[in-house]
Amino acid sequence: MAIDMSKYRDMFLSESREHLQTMGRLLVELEKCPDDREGLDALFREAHSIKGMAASMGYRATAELGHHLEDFLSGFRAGGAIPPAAIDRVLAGVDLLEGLIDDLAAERPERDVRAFIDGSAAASPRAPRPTTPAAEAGAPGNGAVTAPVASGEEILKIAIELVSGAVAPAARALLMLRELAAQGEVVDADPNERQLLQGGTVPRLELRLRSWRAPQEIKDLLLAMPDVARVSCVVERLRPATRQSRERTVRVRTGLLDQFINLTGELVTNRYMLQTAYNDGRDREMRDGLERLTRLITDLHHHVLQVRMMPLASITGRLPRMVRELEQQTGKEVALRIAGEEVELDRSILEALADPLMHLVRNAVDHGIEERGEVQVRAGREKDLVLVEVRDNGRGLDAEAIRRKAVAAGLLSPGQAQRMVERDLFPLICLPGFSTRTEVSETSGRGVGMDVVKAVTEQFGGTLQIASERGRGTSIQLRLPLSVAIIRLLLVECGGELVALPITRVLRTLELERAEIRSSGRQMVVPLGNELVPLLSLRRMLRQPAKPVAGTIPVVVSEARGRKIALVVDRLVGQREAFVKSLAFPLDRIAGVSGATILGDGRIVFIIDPQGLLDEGAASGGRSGVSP
Amino acid sequence: MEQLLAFRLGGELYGLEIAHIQEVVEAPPLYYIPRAPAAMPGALNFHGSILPVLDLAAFLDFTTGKRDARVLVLSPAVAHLALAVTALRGVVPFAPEALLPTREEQTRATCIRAVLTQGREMINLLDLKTLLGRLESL
Repeated sequence: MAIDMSKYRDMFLSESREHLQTMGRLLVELEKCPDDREGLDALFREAHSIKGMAASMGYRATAELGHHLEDFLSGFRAGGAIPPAAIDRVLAGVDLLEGLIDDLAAERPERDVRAFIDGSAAASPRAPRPTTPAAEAGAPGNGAVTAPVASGEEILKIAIELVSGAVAPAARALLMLRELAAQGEVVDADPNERQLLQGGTVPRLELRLRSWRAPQEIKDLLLAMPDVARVSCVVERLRPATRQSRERTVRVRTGLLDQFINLTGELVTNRYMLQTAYNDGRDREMRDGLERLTRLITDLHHHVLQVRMMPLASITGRLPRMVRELEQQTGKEVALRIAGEEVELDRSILEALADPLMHLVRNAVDHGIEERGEVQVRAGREKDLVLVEVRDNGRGLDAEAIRRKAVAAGLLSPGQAQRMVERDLFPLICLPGFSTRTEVSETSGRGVGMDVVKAVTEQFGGTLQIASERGRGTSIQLRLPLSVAIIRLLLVECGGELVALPITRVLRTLELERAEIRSSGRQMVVPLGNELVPLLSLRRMLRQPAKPVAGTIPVVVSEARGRKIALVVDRLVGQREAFVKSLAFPLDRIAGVSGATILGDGRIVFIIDPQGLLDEGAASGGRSGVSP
Repeated sequence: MEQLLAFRLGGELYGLEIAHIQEVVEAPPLYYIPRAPAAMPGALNFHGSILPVLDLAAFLDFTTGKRDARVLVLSPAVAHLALAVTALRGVVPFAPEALLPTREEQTRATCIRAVLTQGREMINLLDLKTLLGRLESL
């Protein structure tokens, strides 16, 4: 059975990361409340899930470590409480698992887990689990030898023959099956569990087991059980996971999929309606049909964006863990409150926001809170925006320190600095390299800074606001759009200015030689394929001063009113992906300008729509053609 | 007492209530707006918002010359717009009852809502509603 596991791999990676985040959060909660039975149970289940998933994917070391943590936890689960030392150990295990997930994501061999697992005896105050003699032989954590990490999938083909005089062979076989199920995932069994439950004679049990265990371990495990006459256990190797371009995966609510089906249905209906109207030549119905189509497409677009939405919880999971570590490092006492985790944002925004959010919380703990205090992460909808706020009740920003720093860094003159009110000083901390701490602290002084937080926020069309009161605390508010409109743009220079065209409107770009241009009446044309395409000056379309055509001529071929047009520009700058911001009044009143984007360096570039420019040009009697 | 920010447009003195102004931005870089009317010298990146700058003096047909490098960003509740003026003067406190109303047709023609006399000077209070109405047909 050759299953291509690679497509499940990304799902495994993302789900495992979620489980690990949850484990981190649960552990931090358990530390405050060590006898929280439900928390312990949940923690155990998380470890169990990781083990199960890793085993079914054939990730041996990951599965083994997951199993080990599961075992380790089960002891405390029985006792009903988990001591601090054990929490530390499980946290270390979670870290190691994260490392393993990173290995798998990077398609490296899994790192060694032996040292960690072997260290358990010393770290654990008691035995992980009362083990049965049968399990003893193969139980992890007891120094069982693991085969070197396999790069592919492993399924073990196991055949067990029972002794002929076994008293209850079906029951015995059932026990074996269940024991094996604890060592991995039973792919199939003959006879299967249901058949075994009906009893009868069972001379032989055959099954396939997807497991992280070596065949010899399984064999030993089975031979240690009563009534076993002979065991054969061989590896059925699947083809190794091939390197493929990895699509990122998202999970989609089935409700949403139903809506897609419904929309598809409506589109099909709409198509027939249009077809009929067309056949019968009924313009009115054609028009109605097209209007309906427009609405359906808008709907579809909306739902597609929905698929990209993920809850904020997907990036707040790490925060409790981080705050706990900061507490240990700084000796401060910090209560972290998170509200609005269910608020949804576009996946790409969330991914970009993860590090900045951690930075803000780290900052709040590190610079805001003095000895004890509270850090709040709060999210909520504000019309079409999502507000993400990180607020602390600590010492507040030091306006004087910011003033001094700004002067020292040459950002302000001493006079300017004195005149500036506090509210205007705060945004200065978002300037690259600005930090009010003279020494770089271990926790905040690395990775992203406030400048990055601001840049990321603005890149998505969001805004960052800082409010702070001395002795009362600081609040950083990020307002972000719910979803993004990412499109590819072609940047061109025209009349010394930068403008952008949506790549969807660009058929091709070329550099024309003077000799390739012909005139047709008063209009310059260029032969492309078997068409003569009119050459239009983008300068004229933008009402910029004309420039005599000289040398090679950069041209963007686009389409307007169903015809090809060749736009003469000054320079082709290049393509890039951009988050398009729609324009508000009064910018939306300018015909031919469809949106704008902010480049990485803060420059604004407007997006032009050739068709719109031509329509407007025609209305005002302007000519855009390049004259001979 | 309320406050207004006084500024010159050509040779005239105008004012706008502080409440309508979000911020005065010091010489922001302005970016090219394709097809913008002549009175719109560019757009600024205001904390990630794209705001066009309206040169009030040019828009209201005053003789244009120098422009103050600072621009007035209007409160987002009013409009996504920044205003450039000939020269910023400063904040002037005023009592609302001291405002002299203008006639309706005068308001429409000049974008002046009311007039405030201050010493020997007259400050024309800008009527944002009329101004924004005129922008409807760019």
